[in-house]
Amino acid sequence: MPEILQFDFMLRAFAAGAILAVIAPVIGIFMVVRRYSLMADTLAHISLTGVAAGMLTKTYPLGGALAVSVAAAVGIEKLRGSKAVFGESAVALFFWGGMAAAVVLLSMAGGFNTSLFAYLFGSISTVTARDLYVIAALGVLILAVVFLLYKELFFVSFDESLARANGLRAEAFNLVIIIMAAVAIVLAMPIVGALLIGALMVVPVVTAMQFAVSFRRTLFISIIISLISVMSGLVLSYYLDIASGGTIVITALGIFVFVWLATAKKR
Amino acid sequence: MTTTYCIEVENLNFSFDKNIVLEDVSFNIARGQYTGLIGPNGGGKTTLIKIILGLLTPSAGSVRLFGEPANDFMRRFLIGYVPQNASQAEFYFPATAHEIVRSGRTAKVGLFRRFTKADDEAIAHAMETAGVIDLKDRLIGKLSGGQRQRVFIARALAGDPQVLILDEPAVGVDTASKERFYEFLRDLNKNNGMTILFVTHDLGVIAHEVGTVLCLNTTLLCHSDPGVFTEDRLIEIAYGGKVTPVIHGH
Repeated sequence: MPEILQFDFMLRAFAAGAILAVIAPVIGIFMVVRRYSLMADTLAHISLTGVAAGMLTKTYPLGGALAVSVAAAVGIEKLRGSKAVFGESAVALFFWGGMAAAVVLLSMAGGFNTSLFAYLFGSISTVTARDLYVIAALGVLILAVVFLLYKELFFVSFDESLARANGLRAEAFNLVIIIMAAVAIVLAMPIVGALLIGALMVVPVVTAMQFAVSFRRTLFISIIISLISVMSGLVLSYYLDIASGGTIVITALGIFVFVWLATAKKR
Repeated sequence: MTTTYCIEVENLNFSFDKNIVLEDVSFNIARGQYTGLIGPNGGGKTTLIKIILGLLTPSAGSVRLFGEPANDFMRRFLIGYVPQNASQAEFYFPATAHEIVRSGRTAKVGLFRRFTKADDEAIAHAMETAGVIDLKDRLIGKLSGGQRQRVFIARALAGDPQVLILDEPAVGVDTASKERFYEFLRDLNKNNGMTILFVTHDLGVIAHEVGTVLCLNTTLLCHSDPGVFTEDRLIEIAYGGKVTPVIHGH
């Protein structure tokens, strides 16, 4: 057995990484086509508030992050729906609010330590057994929801007003997408880190779109690209002793550049 | 209770901020009727369509669909809708013509249900009817304006609608395709008994194709069969000049 598989923390990282590699583009594709790409980053920054609260109160940080992230997702949709501010401004208000609250809570918790660094940039050694169970359970839940609502999510994403005219409750499906995104972001935090989660949701999808194939195939290709990025990123991170989140995202971007150049003729 | 009307609009009013967009608009559309809706830009045509589709709530008045109040009407997929072609939002959307047409059957299939073989057949049939079966694996963003329009018609047909509402569908389509398109609508109306409500600026179409014309400029200026009017008279009604409301009993 290769050395890399002899460590429990590495096995956990691979297992968690595989699940995340699948769910990130599954949610990401709906975010990308709806022009929500930067929403992932906003929710990630906001969820740091939950991590900070967890550190301050010595409770499970991902639990706090999950609560804050989902609450913010609902809040953004409500503020956006109220038309009181531009949709983009609604996202920005939450972005700053989340960061500000996180910084305040962290300074109260005694500051900026290594554990925080892991949540910001991801680390292969931080995935605990508890993290893995949570990631597996919620990951399966997200896949089940997308599987069951696939045709509705596709319809609402492509033409929201027609979907509403046909009697679909578009607001409810929008909320489902954004809540799933909030959950996926928190799950990805230990490995990819809050600052780079958005990339894992968006880059494989944008890469797959270069092939100019159907929505379904774009989804499958993006999952494969995401799996390759996460797995090779984790291996490189282990052997070169570098941050996993950055390694994964650089790998994904490398694949994007390769595919973009290779498909240039098609455009 | 069955009713002969698919769409009944009664004393409809719609205001946005303090602007009156629609005032006291009433009309009925019977099953199998082919109706053209004309009027100047800003005259409320699209607003009226959006109210019928349930996308806007009227300030006052009511809409009934197939005899039921529009608010309680659950089978909204019975009304197929082809939006204006202007939108380029779908240009980069990674989806094939087939996936787009199939999405038009989503509401009919229902929540948590998968597409069955019968659904797939209905979708293929809608694509054949609209003449887009050969385009089924092409990406929506790679189609011409005319082709995309026919894909959207196929999408509207995929839900087996009884009424088809089209909002200026021929804008940006070349003359030859336009002719074929009108012929296609005529055929759909005559042979399939499809009820059609058609928003247009093209007065030639009003004069030659439709059975009933609605002229809308905030209020309903006329509701009649188009034979009553010369084209000049229609232009006058719809786009300016002194207007005497002409309401024929329907």
